[in-house]
Amino acid sequence: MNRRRQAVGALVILLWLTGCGGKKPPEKTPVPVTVSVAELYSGGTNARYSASIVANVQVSLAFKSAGYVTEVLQVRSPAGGTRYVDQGDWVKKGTVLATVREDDYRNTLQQAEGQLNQAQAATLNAQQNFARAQALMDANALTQPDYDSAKAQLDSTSGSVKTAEGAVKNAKQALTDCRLAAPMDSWVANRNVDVGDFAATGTVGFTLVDTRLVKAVFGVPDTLLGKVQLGQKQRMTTGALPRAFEGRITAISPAADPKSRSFQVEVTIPNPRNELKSGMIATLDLGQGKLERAVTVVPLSAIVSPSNGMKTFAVYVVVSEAGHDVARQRLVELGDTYGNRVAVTQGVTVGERVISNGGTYVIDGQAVQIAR
Amino acid sequence: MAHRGDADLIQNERGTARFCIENRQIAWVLLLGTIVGGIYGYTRMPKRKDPDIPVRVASVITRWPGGTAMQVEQLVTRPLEQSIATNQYIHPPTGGDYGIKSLSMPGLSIINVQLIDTLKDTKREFNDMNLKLNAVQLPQGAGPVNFNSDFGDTAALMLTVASPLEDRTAIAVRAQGIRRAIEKVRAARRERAKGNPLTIVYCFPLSIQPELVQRNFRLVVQWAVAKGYLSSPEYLAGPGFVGVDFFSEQDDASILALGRSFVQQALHESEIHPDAWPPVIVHDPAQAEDRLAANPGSKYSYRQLDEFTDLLGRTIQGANEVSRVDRNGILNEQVYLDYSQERLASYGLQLSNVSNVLNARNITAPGGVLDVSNKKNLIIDPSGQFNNFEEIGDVAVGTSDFGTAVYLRDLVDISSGYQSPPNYLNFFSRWDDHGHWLRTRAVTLAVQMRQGEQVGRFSVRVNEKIQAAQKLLPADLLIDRTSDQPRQVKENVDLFMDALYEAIALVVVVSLIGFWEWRSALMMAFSIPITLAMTFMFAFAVGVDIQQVSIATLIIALGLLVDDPVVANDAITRSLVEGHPPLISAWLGPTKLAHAIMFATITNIVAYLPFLLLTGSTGEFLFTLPVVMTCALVASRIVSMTFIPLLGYYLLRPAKKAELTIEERRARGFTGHYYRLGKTLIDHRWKTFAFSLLFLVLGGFVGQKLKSQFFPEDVQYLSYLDVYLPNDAPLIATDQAVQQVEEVVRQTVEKFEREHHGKGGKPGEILKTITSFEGGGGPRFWFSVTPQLQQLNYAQVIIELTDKDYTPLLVGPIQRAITSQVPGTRVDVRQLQTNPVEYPVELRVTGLADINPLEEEKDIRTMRGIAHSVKQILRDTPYANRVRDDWDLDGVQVTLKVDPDRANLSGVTNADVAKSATAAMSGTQLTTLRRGDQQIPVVARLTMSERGQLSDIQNLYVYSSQTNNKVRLEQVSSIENEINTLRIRHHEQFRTISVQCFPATGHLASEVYKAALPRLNELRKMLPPGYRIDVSGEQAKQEQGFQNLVVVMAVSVFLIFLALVFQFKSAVKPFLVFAATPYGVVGALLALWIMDVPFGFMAFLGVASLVGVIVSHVIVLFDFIEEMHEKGEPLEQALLDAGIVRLRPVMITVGATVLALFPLALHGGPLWQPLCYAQIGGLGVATFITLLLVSVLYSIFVLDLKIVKWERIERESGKK
Repeated sequence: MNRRRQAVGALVILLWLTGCGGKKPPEKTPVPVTVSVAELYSGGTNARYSASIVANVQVSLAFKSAGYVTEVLQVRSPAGGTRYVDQGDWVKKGTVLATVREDDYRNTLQQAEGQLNQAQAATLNAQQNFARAQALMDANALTQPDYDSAKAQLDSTSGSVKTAEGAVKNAKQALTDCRLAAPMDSWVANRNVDVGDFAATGTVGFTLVDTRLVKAVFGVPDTLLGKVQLGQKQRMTTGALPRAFEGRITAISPAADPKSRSFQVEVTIPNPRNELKSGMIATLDLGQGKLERAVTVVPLSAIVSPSNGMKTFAVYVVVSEAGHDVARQRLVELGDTYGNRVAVTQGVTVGERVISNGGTYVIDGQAVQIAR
Repeated sequence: MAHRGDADLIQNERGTARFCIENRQIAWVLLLGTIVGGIYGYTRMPKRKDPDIPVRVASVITRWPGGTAMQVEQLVTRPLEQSIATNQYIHPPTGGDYGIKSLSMPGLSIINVQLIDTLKDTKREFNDMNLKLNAVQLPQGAGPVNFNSDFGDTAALMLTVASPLEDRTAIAVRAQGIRRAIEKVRAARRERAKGNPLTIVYCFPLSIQPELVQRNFRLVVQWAVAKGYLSSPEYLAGPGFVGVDFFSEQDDASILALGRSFVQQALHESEIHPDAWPPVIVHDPAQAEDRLAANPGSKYSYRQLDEFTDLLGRTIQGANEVSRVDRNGILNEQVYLDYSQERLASYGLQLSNVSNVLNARNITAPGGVLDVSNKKNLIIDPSGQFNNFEEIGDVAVGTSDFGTAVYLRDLVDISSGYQSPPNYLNFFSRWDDHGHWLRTRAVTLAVQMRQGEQVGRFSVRVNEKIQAAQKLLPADLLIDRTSDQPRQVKENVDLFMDALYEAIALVVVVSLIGFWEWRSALMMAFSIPITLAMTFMFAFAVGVDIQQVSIATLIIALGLLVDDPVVANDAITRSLVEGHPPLISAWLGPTKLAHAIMFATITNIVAYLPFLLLTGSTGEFLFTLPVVMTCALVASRIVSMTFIPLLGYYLLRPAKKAELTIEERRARGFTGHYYRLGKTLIDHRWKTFAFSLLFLVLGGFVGQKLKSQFFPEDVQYLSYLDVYLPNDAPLIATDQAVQQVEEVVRQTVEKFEREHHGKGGKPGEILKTITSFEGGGGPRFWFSVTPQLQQLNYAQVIIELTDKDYTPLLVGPIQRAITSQVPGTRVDVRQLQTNPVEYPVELRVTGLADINPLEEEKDIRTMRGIAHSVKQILRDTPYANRVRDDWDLDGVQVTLKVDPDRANLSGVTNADVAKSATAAMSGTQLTTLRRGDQQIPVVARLTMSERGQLSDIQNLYVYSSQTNNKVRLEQVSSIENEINTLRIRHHEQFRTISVQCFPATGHLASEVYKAALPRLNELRKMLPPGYRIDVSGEQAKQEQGFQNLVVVMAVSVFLIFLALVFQFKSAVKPFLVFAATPYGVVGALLALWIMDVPFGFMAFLGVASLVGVIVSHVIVLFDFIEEMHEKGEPLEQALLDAGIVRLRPVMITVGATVLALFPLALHGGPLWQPLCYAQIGGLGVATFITLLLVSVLYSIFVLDLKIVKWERIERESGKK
């Protein structure tokens, strides 16, 4: 009995001991996070615009002399043989592109010349009459009214000669105008006439463009008007060509388009190889210039809301405390967004490590471990 | 209670036992019938792994694109919740469970509703709810209300269909083209001095035009050139690939990393074609094939997987046993028109024009019928449906000034792809034949079994169907059973049946040793199967299924089942010894004990039957326990009164050696020791009693030390991980996190493998497969795993091991590895649970004070403040890990503030801004391409390079719907950062933040709770009015469960008491009977403590059911004491003689019960261990108590307290 009691006593003590020497609470493991360093950014915003390319000079070549088109410039065709000049052909200054039937104008010219001859003949006659009248007048053999009449006739006929001379000149010009010639070295952008067409006065026969310089035209809103200045260099790209082009801003419209409230801006770009074509769409980034003051930026994913539920922004910064990496919460104020980064105007300094992944799951003062 | 004389019985008894002996042919037929009935019942009973607990949960999903979380909460969730709440069968809110809970997110409202457990016909209530929900007035643009009442259905089978990697032949063909292209480019190079060029090759499906890929590819290259990472690039392209040849000083890995980082920054990585291959770097053109082979893409595209699984699903659906097949992980096809604002604008077109033109062409319209000379009907078909996506490009959308047609393909890039970004993906990882770990895309089919079908047959039929379909599918397509209930059922039933067979064998061995006679042992060997057969027959009749609870109940009952035959057997033998002929003694013995057996049976039945009062899922889980127990006890009682006498008649013979007289037994052998010890104890009865009290105190002390765990986890092949990212994470981020998580899982398992198997471990020895569902949970593959509904920031990763015993060992290391290695995610590694508790520690902060809808912000802030304090308290406790709340932090959102004045002056409206922004960023559907049975949306979206970055939004043009104006977004709006609540949860219609945490490994939830309670109570005192902190999680379930059990136990004890009062016709003696039970309980607690098993529901159950077993033993003992008393023995002798007589049967019964429990304890896993150990310990101790202490207590009652009167009874019997 005694022995048994001892045994039970020992058992109780054993129980008590094991009960007290329970397992120690486990160490809390550091939370894995990824960090990125807060850095200075001065690149400024990128505002992308699309501009349409227009030729520097574009001419609509219209017929002045109406008539049936009798001839159109023939050029060598890439397919062999010849063909009429057409869009995409290069023409030199003075090349005759099309001709309307000249006969009509030649007739007119003859007519005019005939009339001029008549008028000259009449003038000759009038001169002779007047000379006679002058002589009679000097001899007081003529009445004043007769003399005046002879003088008036002379004046009138010499006027007719001038008119007739003008008409001849016009007719000559009209005859010249039957040949539509290129006013400059240029590309044919369009041809509207064919042999046999009736070209009325003012009918645009050809469109010629000079694209050795091209203009890119785009509209900017008033808010960004400050970012464009005359003479400013501007790069642009097109969807069609792999390389970028550079030009200068040459014109800024003084008034906004009333519909879209945007201001038209022109960039002139040299295009010696004629790569940029009129009507192409170019994309340009505006405002690639530096910011006035560099800002501290952190990735957008670093921004969290503080754990206490307040309506402010916070980031977690990893700091070394007693040799361990510890997360510290910083309340921050946010500025503009640049790409996928955001400016922090207060709370974080450049060079600090902010938690970019895992910030949602740490708390202030928690030990962290930087993954990868 | 009076015992009738033998002569009287022989004269007058007309019981079943006598009937059976005297009509043996009838009895034999009945016996045969019982066995056949039992076998029939067993084979026809539905088999399951776990009891069928219907999940009475439905989900309500409502979308409202554009609504903020708060708007969704107020305008969608609230009215819907109110409508649901009008149903009267909603589950009552309790600490551990819910009736209605909801989650409001930006653009999405999810409500879960649970009906009460007692409701049988859930469909009717759900239909009613659905009707009411459809009548709820929702704000414009919201809806439709998507009511899913099948949410609770568990898939019997989860088939994951995965694509293998591209095969070598196809790689070789591609490589040849690539090699030629590289050689051509390099031959044309002039600068050779720069060193050796290298080529990046990017492969994609042949259906994609290289030009489309090239555009973005060029962007990357241009950026790399600008940064100086590479120089003099020359592009190459061919069918299915693009590439660039260049010079670089960087090494291969860093070039790929740089490219990837640029893609992440400037392009949408999520929109890269999922069928594209990872880029590879080729140095020597001849190596191209090897390089490609080292990193190939998947062989089958998502479209093919869709087609394959569609066929497979429909084939399986053809099996009668299958009720439904759902597919998960299908990526819907889409045709994309990538447009550039500038290009479109330069043609003077808007998207709406394009849409009109497409829809005018793509019609299915009747054109009328032409009757051709009364003989034939000709159908005129004017439809111009698109047959493939290329045709869309051929549509002329306008004419140029020169009259030439402008085709759509000239304006936009047309490509056929998939829904992008995807919102749900499925991946499957496994070892390939060469021992490489592979992760490929997959589609998972969830196959549901029709109600009432046999799971084994279901499995066979599904297999047949799969084999039939496989003949039509490519041979290398992987089809894996990632969750396999038939297998689990088979294994589990087999396991438990094995435990049952072992238990039966042990019982026979015990009886052989106990009786030390083969005839009696043979009797036992016959009687148990007969009893079980009858039990199965009864159980089948009452509709019980075979699962772990019902089989375990049989094992637990085995001890009790044995009791009756043992006693009957003993009685027959004694009758034979007394000299009655076999024909008489075969029924006389049992009949004499009929009364005692009857009461013992009733006591046991009433001890278990109150378990029917258990409520909730626990009640449903254990429903079969009392039912099967009752069946078994009734069967045992019937068998012992019918077939045992029958068998006894044939088998039992009087012992050749005359039985020892009681005097001899008092003196000799084991019984002699017992007699002497008993005598000493009765002499020193007060000391003994005091000592026994000390034992009780010790028990109380041990009870304090026991840890508690409500329900243990189930040990299964599968375990799963919940992966959460911050609320605003896109699917691509989730995918990256999941890949990291999978990698860590694999490494951890491999490390474990090395530690446990040494270096020679083959791959796949432990880790079998990993199946991941991203953007939402997979199908419900386990009844207690509630799938998470569509959330881009969530993924479920299911791990399958080859040996389920490793699962509990690996869960801890995997959790630790992930927590310390994967940044920016919250991962919970979970084992499957028998009784689901989502979070072991959960505290709910509820705000009931949101009276003023305008002060919502303030309400939410107050709640967040409280939740913050609660989290702090939990974090400060030493055992809490992974503390979080289920709202998560507010998200930082970028909002586009439209300046209405500026917009107005510029001629656009907010609606125009919204329309243009969505069209550009997310795309707008223009028309539908109909192909086969599929309707493929044709979506226009801005080309990738124009919307890659946040700042690109500002560069969008907004088109006016009224005028022909277009203005830049920047002109009329500004970007602002805002903090928004992204997740609002309701519990029973009120905002609730649940603060959750997990106990550190090796600790239990109860420890965390205990540590946090004092400060929590302090916090509770300081809460503003209207705010509450409720305890949920395991603690609440446990409290509720234990309360429930206490009631059950009280009812059970009272019923036993009542039975005893009837039996003894005394209100005092039952207390004596009960006196043994506390010792049994202490024994149970001690056993639990020694085995280091936590005290939980099942242990409690074991303790509760102990009472019945102990009491039934004491009853039979008392019966003998009374008999001795009647024989006129003095008290002390009567007590000890009864003990001597009972010693053997009690030892045999207890030995049988205890030993029968060992197989269950060994195979049953953590669920049954506590119950088994509690019963083993309890019975072990209680047996000694019954045999020794009961006599001590009895003598105290009689001699000292004089409550029970011994002399009087003696006098009465003397009179008799």
